[in-house]
Amino acid sequence: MTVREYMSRSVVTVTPSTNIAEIASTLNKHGIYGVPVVDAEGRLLGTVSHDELMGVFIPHYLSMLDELAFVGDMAAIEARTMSSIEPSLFVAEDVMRTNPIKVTPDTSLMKVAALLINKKLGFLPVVDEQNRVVGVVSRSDVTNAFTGIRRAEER
Amino acid sequence: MKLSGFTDKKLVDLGIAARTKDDLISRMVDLLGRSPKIKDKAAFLRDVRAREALVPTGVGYGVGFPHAKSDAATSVVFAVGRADTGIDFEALDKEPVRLVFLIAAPKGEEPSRVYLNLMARLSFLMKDQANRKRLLTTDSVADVMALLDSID
Repeated sequence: MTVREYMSRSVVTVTPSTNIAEIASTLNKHGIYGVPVVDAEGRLLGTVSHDELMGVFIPHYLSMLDELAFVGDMAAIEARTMSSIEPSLFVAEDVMRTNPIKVTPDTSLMKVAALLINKKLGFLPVVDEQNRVVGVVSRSDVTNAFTGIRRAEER
Repeated sequence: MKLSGFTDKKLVDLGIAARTKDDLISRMVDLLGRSPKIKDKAAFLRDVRAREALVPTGVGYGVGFPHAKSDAATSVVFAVGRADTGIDFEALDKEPVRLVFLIAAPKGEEPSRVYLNLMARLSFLMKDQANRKRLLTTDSVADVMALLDSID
């Protein structure tokens, strides 16, 4: 099984100047975990997912802790954080994961599964020889493939 | 780390004389260039201009947060500038900018997290009108450092 058979070809992308509020809205609208960030020619620059968006709002020290039990008043931290972030300050260029792991249509789905699990990723961009985004392959694409549920669009 | 840990007294200038936004950014890059964490001022200026061209960082209330992830930076660092004349910074609210925080970070995932969090904390600090007034009226760099350390 290869990526080509199971990737989503109708890719939602954003540009480096897309505001984080717009990105969140796009993710919610399409029910997706993340999006590739592309230049004017559709070439891959990075990726932004809910992970990166949440990373803006979580105080850095909290994201470094394995054990949260001794952290005091989370509500106070949340209140201060939510009043402090100026969403207009952050665009995709600022928050995107640069040099993202990417695959091609010919990549084995087993390799994709291993990458998604090992690297704790929600999706991978699929690119052609010119680094243009031609699709994305997500965890649900892999589990659907492995469990025999083909994409509705391909049935 | 306290906010002051990402800057230095020599990276604070309360008397910047600039005529335009680009002039202000250039002077801020010169200021931040005093830090050994900026190894190539010209390259960093290019990166800041490129980021500013994407979306202006004048968020309103007279404060600008120009910033860039750059190969010219070896770690996260910022400079504080005050331009009493007020500069058109293409701000959301069209208000002239008097207070500027120029933030640099090296490229890479972990530095990015640190610098995003740093910007969020500076934004929090400057949303408070009393803090802005203090920064607009003080003549003491030590007072600026104390203000920066007034939040966790």
